[in-house]
Amino acid sequence: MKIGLEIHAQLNTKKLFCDCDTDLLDNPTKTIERKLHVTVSELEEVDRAAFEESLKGKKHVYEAFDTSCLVYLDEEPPHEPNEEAIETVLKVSLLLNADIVDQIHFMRKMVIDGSNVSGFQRTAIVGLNGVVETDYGNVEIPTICIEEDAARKDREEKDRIFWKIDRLGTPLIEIATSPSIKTPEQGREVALFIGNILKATKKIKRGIGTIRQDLNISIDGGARIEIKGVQELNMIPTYIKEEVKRQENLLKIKEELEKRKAGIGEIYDITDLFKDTKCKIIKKAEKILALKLKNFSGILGMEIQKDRRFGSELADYARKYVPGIFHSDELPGYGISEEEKNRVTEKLESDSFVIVASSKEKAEKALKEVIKRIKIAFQGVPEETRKPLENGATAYARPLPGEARMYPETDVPPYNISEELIEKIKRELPELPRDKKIRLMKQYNLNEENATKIMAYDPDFFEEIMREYSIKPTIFLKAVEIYRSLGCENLEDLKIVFDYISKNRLVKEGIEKVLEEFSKGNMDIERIIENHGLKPITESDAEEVIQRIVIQNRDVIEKKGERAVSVLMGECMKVLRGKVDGKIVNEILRREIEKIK
Amino acid sequence: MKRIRIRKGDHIYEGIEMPSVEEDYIVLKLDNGYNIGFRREGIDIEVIGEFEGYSKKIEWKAETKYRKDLKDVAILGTGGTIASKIDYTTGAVYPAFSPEELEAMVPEIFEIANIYPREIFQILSENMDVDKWIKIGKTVVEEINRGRGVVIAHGTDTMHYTASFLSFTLKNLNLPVVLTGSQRSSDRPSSDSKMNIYCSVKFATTDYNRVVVCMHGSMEDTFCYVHRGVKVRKNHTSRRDAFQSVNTKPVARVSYDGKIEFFEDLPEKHEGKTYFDDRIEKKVFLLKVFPGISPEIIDFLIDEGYKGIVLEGTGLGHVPSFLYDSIKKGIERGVTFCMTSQCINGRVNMNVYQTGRKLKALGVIPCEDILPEACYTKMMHVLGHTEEYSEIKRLMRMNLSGEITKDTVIL
Repeated sequence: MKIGLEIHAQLNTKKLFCDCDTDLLDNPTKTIERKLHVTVSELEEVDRAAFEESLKGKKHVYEAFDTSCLVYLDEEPPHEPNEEAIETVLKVSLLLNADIVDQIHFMRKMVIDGSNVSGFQRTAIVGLNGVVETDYGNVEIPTICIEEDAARKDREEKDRIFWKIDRLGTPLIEIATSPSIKTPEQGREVALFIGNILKATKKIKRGIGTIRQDLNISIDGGARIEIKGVQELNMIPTYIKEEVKRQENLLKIKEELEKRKAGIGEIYDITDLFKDTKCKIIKKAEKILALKLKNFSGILGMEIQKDRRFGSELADYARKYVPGIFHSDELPGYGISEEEKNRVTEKLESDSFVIVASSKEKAEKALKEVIKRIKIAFQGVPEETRKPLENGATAYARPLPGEARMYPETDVPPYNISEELIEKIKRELPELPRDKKIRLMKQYNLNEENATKIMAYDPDFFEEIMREYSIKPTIFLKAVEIYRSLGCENLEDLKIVFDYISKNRLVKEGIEKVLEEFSKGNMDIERIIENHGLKPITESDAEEVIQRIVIQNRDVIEKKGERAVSVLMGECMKVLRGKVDGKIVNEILRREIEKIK
Repeated sequence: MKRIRIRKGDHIYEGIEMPSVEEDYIVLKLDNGYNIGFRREGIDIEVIGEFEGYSKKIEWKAETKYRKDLKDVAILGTGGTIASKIDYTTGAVYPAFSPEELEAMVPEIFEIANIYPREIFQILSENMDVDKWIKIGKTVVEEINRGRGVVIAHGTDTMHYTASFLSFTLKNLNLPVVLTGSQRSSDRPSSDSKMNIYCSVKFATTDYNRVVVCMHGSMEDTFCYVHRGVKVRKNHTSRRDAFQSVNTKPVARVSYDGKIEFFEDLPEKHEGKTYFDDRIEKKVFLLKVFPGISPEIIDFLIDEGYKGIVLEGTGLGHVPSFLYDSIKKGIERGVTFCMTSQCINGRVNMNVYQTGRKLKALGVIPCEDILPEACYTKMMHVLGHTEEYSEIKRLMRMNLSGEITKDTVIL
């Protein structure tokens, strides 16, 4: 089993080759329609016919904003690369123990799906030969690149694809590991480790889609599969396991097909057989075509991944032209009756087949795709780019791109990295997350679990609070957890709460109430304390309250003796909860009961 | 090219040695396609083989099929990025002008005309000069007289100068001469060259027998504007719609679907063959006037034997009064001074201010709304025909090729 990771993270700087902001925007003010052209010379190794067909007539409409400049409309040559972005990538490279190139050369990588206005993505190697140490062994990082993010696809109409160009040109760092990851768990650990290093630079964008993981997986006898755009780190082991399972099952299917001498037959027009069908999809369709298969029974319905059958793989290919397919292993079903199934079996003289209902042209094309996929099944696993599904399985996206066609970006001069610059960046390197965690555990007497939590939130903010206020780390964690669970992100709000607690102007038990009010937009802490009675009371005040309760309950104490503590504790806390620490209440109560006995 | 191995510290890198701009660095193309640069100091370099390159030029195979139902169009190459291919190794762009290469790049043009590609020379348009203009002019005449409309692929920097020059020197023009170029190089999928060539070829099949420039009409790949060669200017350094008609409307609009919409009537047809008028005076100077200008510049030009000076004056057509003496001296020695405006838009009028009136009195010829660049080429043409001041003045103020509009219309 070979597993490699590719991690992409957006840098929180200006765009890579102009001074535009990289915020995502809502209201485009200008649209520009373009066509992208591919000349034959670029297609030497690509299936030219298929490719040209896919491009024919496709127009791209780019939606630009008030603030968009000409560079990313490809109406002006690129400016100098953004220094802050380059320095961030240098920083990450050094943290990953990589060698830094002496001179950065930007390249143009052909991307002709329209997601880049120019038709290419600019990319450059900054670091080489990095390494990540994990508990499962070292993982090599052969290259660390800086590149441009693509435009956002907004929607697709008949012959037009709409793109928003706000994201285009946002600097990305791309970290690629060698295929040296050995287990699904190690995959997650490497991703987590690299993710933490990225966060330590404080120059990484936060939010959905800002860090994207691609997984490259292959097993012996299988093929390289790229699962593109995994966002949830904890799902990485699942995706790996599911992909391994899929490849193993596809290899089993290959063996089985050989053994059974299975085969592909002709395409039949079976529209007549469904005249009075109850299946809505078939009823609507102009033509119903069936592909005859030989000895595929049971294989089409074989589960190869969680909730996905071999038939799902065929449907993925057909989906280019039709919404879905029916195969014999799932029939009767979907409104297709036993009798209808039998009619098809009779006509085709085979109990295994695939049915497509659509226009004649689309149905034919869809079945050709199905044939293409089945042919590959006889050889094993196809190389593919797949998209992650929520349940851990994956679906086919497109064939794995061939070797990228790259050539120098002649509009951007080489960028020299001086030794002085590297020295300067080395002095500014942030503490490595792993080192920091160990230090935090020692310095603040934290257990592993709490240290991990603090690392995940904001360790620098934690240290700032510890320096400035006298509160315990557990209080810090409690406050952060509550506030975030209320959907609030701005941890700065918590400072005043910590201040009040450390000055004994707010009881610890009152944190929840205060933050609840904060989350509703009521930030007047004085008033909240006042309204909810969250002001700490002195020990002597507490003593008075407890004494009164003890006297009132004299009979209980006489009856129960020592055990009265647990009964009366409840009574006391009814009055004192949130104002005095429970421990102190308990102490005073015992003392008072002792007196009476 | 050489395949080399570089040893730096503990690591070894292999790849192809690429040309390096800076001497202190060696550039390596790694097998993954990326280039990286090494400081030469402190590394070991070992040559391990030869590399032949990825891109092979396509060989000339055969004449493309002739179709009787289509008109003939010659595409003349002069250089620039319009018709070129990329070498994926070096990123260098080299000309691609065989029919096969054109067909690979813009197959659509073979559907709308019989295409005759011909390369005149390969230069960047900033290196264009009068002799090259003459060569272009003579080549155009050959092609026109074979019954072919002409498209000239040209670098964009000075395309409007060439267009102006040809407008005055091509006589009895029977078919369209369309100059076109590319603002975004042909090697990029987003290049404007494909649509520009397509629309230009399309326009070259019409009966509009004048010299025009055909380029993107907006930032979109939807239509081109066709401009009179004498009324067009490059008004932006990089945008694909950089070429604009000044003081007038474009001639036509050509949509990417091939539809042509004319904004004016077709010109009259000529009798007889097209010819190139080679009576040209090369000693003409284009002088931009500015507040700190010194009269010695004009004195120097007179001493150097310049026959004509186009002044790109300020505002309505003015120069500082401290230039008067030098201008006067020049005119006395037979040098012609013509006045255009650096405002670009609008018309020269030397009656409004005293400065203008004085210059007129000295003999400076006000040139209406002729663009400075057009005025420069017109003067070369006019001075090639006469040395007599009154005749020069008459011709300069007469509309020879659309360079003067009677009224500046509201656009």
